[in-house]
Amino acid sequence: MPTWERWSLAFDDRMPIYRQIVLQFSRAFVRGEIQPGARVPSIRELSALLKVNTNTMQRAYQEMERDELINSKRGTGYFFTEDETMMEQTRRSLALESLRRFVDEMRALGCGDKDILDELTEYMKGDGSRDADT
Amino acid sequence: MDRVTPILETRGLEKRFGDRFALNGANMSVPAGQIVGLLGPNASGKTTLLKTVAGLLQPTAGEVRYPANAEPGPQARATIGFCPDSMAFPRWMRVRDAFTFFEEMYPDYSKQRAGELMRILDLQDVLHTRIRALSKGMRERLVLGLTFSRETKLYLLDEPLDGIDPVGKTKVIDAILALKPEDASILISTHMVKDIERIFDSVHFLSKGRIVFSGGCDEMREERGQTVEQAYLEVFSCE
Repeated sequence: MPTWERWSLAFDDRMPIYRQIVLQFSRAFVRGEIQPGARVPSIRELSALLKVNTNTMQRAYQEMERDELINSKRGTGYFFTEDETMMEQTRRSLALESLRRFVDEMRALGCGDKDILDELTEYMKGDGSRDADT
Repeated sequence: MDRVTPILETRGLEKRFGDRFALNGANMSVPAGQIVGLLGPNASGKTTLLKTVAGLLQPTAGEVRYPANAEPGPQARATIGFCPDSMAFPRWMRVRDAFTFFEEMYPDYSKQRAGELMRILDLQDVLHTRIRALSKGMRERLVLGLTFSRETKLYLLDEPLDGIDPVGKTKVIDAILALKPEDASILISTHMVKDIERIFDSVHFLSKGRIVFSGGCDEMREERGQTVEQAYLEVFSCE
């Protein structure tokens, strides 16, 4: 299970808080910090831990339920999906989101499609390569 | 967000002191179960609005409604938990006495809640301390504890963060979240938007006695990519 308390420190007030909670859940899931089928804290518990309004937390849970990331079992609480393909799906949608932001920013700098690809290839060979990571 | 029945509504609320309008046609509402921010600079009319809603001031024109409450009028007002900016306590009064006073004063006082609140707010160790000897932050926590020891549907907090250091502010904000009964609404007046915006469901901006903007906080962030504070500064910096 992730260290929930740490999440609240990462909030950015420019982005809807319920969406940040969903995002934190998705990332923890993709990183393997949340196992498929694991029990999720109750809305009340988690809002107390993260110091957010219960209405905000409820909205985050609704969103995740709609996306089938979590499901509620009547009377026993919320559980993470057992569907392992969801992990790959979530990873892909997070990756797409990062790519979209990256491409938007490159275009805003005036780069054409080919420039973007070239810059990326170049970067992956140099500064962004795994060897350069240390 | 779903439309929720408001627990409180004001329509064209006006309050005049001599020839000065403290409220000049204020329209606002507080949905049931929500934490709502009443944001505005000093002298924008926040305290007057809260006092009028609490029934401590008589409006010059307009009306205050409690749509979710079956019995309007004085009865509805008597159930509002109003927490003023500064509560006056007699010099001799100790923390414990204040709770006893509230217990005798308000029929909706809950002894069980009060005990729980004393624990959450770290008031247990100062029960025998004189209130005037408490720090400003501690005093604010006492006042919150007293306010929330009443079991009611609407709490009004006037500037709960005023004059408190950063650590104390965090404690007060945590306390508000922890103390809120699930189905109750809280209306909080403040100009310290940045410190507290995270706990609001929605906000009203009050300028010169009028509500100039109302909206849900996450909707504002979503649509404008702005913090509530940024929106607030945008509205009020051109005054």
